[in-house]
Amino acid sequence: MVPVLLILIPLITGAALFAVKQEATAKSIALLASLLSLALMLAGMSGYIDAAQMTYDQPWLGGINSRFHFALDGMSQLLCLLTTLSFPIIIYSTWNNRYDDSNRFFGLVLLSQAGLLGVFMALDALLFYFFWELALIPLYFLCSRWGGERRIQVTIKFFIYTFIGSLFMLIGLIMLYFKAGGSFAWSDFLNLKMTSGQELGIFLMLAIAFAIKMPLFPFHTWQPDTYEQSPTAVTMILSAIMAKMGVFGLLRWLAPIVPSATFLWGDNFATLAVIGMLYASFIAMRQDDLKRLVAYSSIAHIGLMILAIFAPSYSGIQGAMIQMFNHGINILGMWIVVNVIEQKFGTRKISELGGLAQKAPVLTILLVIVALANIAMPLTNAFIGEFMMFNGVLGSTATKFGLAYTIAALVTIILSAVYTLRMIQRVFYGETNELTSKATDISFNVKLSLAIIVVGIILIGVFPKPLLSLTSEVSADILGRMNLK
Amino acid sequence: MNDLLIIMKQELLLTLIIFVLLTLKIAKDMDNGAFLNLVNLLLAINFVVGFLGGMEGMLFNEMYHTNSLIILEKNILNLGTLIISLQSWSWLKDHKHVAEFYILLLCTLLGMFFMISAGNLLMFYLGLELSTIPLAAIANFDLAKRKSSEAAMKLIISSAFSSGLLLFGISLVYGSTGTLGFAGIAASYSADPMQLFAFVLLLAGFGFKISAVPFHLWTADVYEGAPVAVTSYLSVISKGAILFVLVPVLYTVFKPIAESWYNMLYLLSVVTIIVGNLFAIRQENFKRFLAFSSIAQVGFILVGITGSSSAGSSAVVYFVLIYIFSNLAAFGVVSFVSATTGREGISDYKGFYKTNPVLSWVLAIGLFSLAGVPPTAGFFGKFFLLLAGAGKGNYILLTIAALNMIISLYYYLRIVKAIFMDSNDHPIEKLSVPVFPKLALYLCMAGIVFTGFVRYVYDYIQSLSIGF
Repeated sequence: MVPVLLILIPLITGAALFAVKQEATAKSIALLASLLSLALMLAGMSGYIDAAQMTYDQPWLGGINSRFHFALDGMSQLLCLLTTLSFPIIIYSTWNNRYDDSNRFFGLVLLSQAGLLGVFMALDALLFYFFWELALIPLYFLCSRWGGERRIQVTIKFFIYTFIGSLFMLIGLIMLYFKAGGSFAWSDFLNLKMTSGQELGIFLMLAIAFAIKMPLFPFHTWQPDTYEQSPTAVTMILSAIMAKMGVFGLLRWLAPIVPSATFLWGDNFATLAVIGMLYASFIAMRQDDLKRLVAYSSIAHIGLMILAIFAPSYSGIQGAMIQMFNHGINILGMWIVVNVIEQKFGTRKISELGGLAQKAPVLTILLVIVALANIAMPLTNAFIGEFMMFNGVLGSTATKFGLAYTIAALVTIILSAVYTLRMIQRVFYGETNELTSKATDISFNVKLSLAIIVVGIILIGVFPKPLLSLTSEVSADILGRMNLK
Repeated sequence: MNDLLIIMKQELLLTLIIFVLLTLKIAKDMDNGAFLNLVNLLLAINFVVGFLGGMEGMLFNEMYHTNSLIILEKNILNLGTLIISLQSWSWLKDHKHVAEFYILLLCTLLGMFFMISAGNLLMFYLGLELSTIPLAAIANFDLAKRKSSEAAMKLIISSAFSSGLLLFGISLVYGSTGTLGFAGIAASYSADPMQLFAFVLLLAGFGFKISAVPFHLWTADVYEGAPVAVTSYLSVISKGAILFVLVPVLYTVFKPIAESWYNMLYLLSVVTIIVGNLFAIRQENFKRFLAFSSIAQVGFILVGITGSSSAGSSAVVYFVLIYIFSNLAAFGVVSFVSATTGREGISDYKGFYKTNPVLSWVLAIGLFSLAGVPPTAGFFGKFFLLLAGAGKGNYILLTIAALNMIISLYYYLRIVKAIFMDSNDHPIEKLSVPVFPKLALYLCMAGIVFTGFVRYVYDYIQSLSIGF
């Protein structure tokens, strides 16, 4: 029952919010609902709830053998935890943002949460596809209604990109359906007998869909625009969680199902990932807009996960798993800071800001920790993930170019330190100007949100074992299917 | 005799209604409002009674046959007619010839019923004509508009032409097999050149009626000129009825040449989707736009039919049901706006959201469903069509269809953008929707939201179409 409840809580609340008129009430209800699903998730993971309740399996479309099948294995738990944890933080940290029709805004936010949770738990391909779209559609509306000046063009671009990806995925899933003898069940997709041509076809269909979503160079051009133009709360959803849909897709619906094509084509995609990392890092260095800077840094970080998956080894896959969670909360911290700055000063231009540290010391300390995590300093969570991934890529027996990839990826870590620290230096240190001289420190909700994230960063940084053991089984299974250790 | 009554209950009831309306028209002058209430009540009764006490069987020496799937198909058409009737309330309430309109309309529906139930090419042809000729008359029902007459003229000429093709095909079939009964034809058909030629003629006739490319040239002009009620009837009900016939005819009667018609249908569906889509992009008039979009939709349906299995058959019936809801949601809004303000251009809808938020949402959801965006029912409809079409392992066709879904998305979104985003100096003023059209729109919305996600609808249709 847990998976169904996890989806129903945000789904029903989200739909009900459309009828709530008072702005403050709508916000509070949304926060309560998201906290409720977090509580449920934690209860489920801590073992208070009977393990049998963690799966749900009922017939759905009987005619084509599609089932309502949800399950929470280690990887699903990790990502559902990330989702249920992120949403209260997103809602609470942007508490003071003003939206017209805020009841609809929060209603759509919760609907998208329902979709995301469904994606991470579905074990039926059609169900997976259905929730994949359900997660996206509220975002189109959020972006086009509450976004920045160029929101319409950007939403249409975003929509067309992701919809093309979705349709490719649909074709791939239909092909699998027939290969599996008329079944959409994930377990029936494993161990299919296919010729290498068929496997390659399915691989490409699915890989393109996931590549657009993550995004992987050269399918990334929708991403900086969309991140920039969306309201920041939506950008948080997009980058903290939505981008993980693609990585999750690789790990659940691609690598285990078409392992030999993944193995054969791994180098191509790993190369693209490396190119994308370098490319995004160089562009990030030139950005003056805070949102675009974080957006490009996100491409670089996701690129490393893709690299670790396509140059696989146990350590690399485990690193990618834990890094999905880490990147989620770290980038959330970055966005919270961006949101504070934008709300306070009405600008996101780095060149127009300066000297904030004198006026907002708490914000500065918290941000510096988040930023250090973003560039993978030891003792922070991202260090664990990225170190494991480097280790994994270097030691991967699946590729001959492990060393080259590692060196190139290391360069991007240095670059990420350059642009992140330079951003901090320019925004927070130096002299104040007219704009920033009247600044005050952050309000309680932002402090609390950032504090939670910082605690998470350090906790995982020194004691990552619980998260790692959560996904160890899934990682070993994926590698086993690719005949790797 | 009892059997006759029960087996033909839908036709008999419809005939009865037609006679009631005819008598009323002759006997006394009712005012339009009361008359429309009565008609809609009768149509609702007609729809409900359709579900009661179905029975399978054959009549008149296998001329007429029925089974549960056929009963369901007729019910779907009844539902569509009811919704259209509710929607045209604002247009008809001031019209001088309401009674004639309904009598002609229901005659065409009766023709379709006979066509769907036909077990013999002759019966099929009679039903088809009964469904076409009155339609041309009501296409002319905007009596003051020249375009309406032009539409009627074009419809009758193109129908006559396609009927000619059909008749030629039928006569060749008769000449080569010596029978007109479906069972007899199926038993003795083969792929010899004459019989193939006869089949091509028949298929061309069908192609005209469902406006598959390259037989689509009449569609846009007729859709544009005819009153919106008739346009929506043409695009949903009359197309749906022909598709309901086409599926069993291909699957059973022409089963011996399945290889050949598969290739023809493959070609036809690809061309239809692509041409329909490309032309839809360029349209500025809403009705012409919907005409081309409906051509593209037919292409998708043909993709499903190529599947040639019970999955194909149920996917088509299911899609037509959903298509009725989605298309009528869009047409309902367009019909209402056109009846009250006379504006039909796509650019007129700029800023529509500012003045009419509810209608805008209805229109947008209808368009999303037509585009096949999940989680609307339209997605499930298209999904099952693609799934059926891919059943033969033809992934090229599947890919072409999916790519075209993207193109179609572009032009549906263009309208959604105009409604929600664009500003307009003279937007359509705020409209209050009367109760009947509102009811119709609610029905469509409920259909779009529930027929997809709720599994019982598809499961029920599939349980009926196991027979193929």
